[in-house]
Amino acid sequence: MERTQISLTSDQMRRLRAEARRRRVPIAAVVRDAVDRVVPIDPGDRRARFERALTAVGRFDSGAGDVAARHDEIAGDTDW
Amino acid sequence: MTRIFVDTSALLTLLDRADPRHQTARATYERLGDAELVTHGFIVAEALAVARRRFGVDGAIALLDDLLPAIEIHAVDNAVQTAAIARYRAALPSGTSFVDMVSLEFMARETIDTAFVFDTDFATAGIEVMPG
Repeated sequence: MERTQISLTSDQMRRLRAEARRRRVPIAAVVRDAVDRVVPIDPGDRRARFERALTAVGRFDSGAGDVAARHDEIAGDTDW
Repeated sequence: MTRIFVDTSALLTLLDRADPRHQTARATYERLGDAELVTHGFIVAEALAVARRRFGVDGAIALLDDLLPAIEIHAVDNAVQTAAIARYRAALPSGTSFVDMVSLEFMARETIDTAFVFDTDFATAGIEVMPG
């Protein structure tokens, strides 16, 4: 995370606080969400990451096919 | 842009072609190319632990280098963690995991109403799930 300082009008600050209270999140979380909506991640970059993720889909064969179904149990037996 | 929460069960089902729900997971994921995929750090920790255990180092690498970069990963803040602990304590007999409680609280606070998940606890909690 990078830190920055911004100036807002009193009305913007009032609305920001109200939204943070409504969501029950920090004000910074509302600001980050607003930034993502106004300046979204470049669609080309997003598509490239999506396509790369697809290359991992089906890459492994657990044999039993029960890894996802039993993930709570497996996680409990695992060193984190 | 639609925001979709991604659960551990979806990540592992995507990786594992032996999973009977793998093709359903793949088809669901392929429909999410224009969605904003979101998860949190506890899911990453859980998925990495299980993938490392069952698929080896390559499984963890596949998550870290390929699957996870396509997902926005949020830190679990104090408010979410505290509320999740209370949820977990209150629902302890239900068997719902603590990580699931964190996910439900996280989704509520981020106003995300749909999850890519293979875990009935989400639908039981009133979350819209994909695949349906």
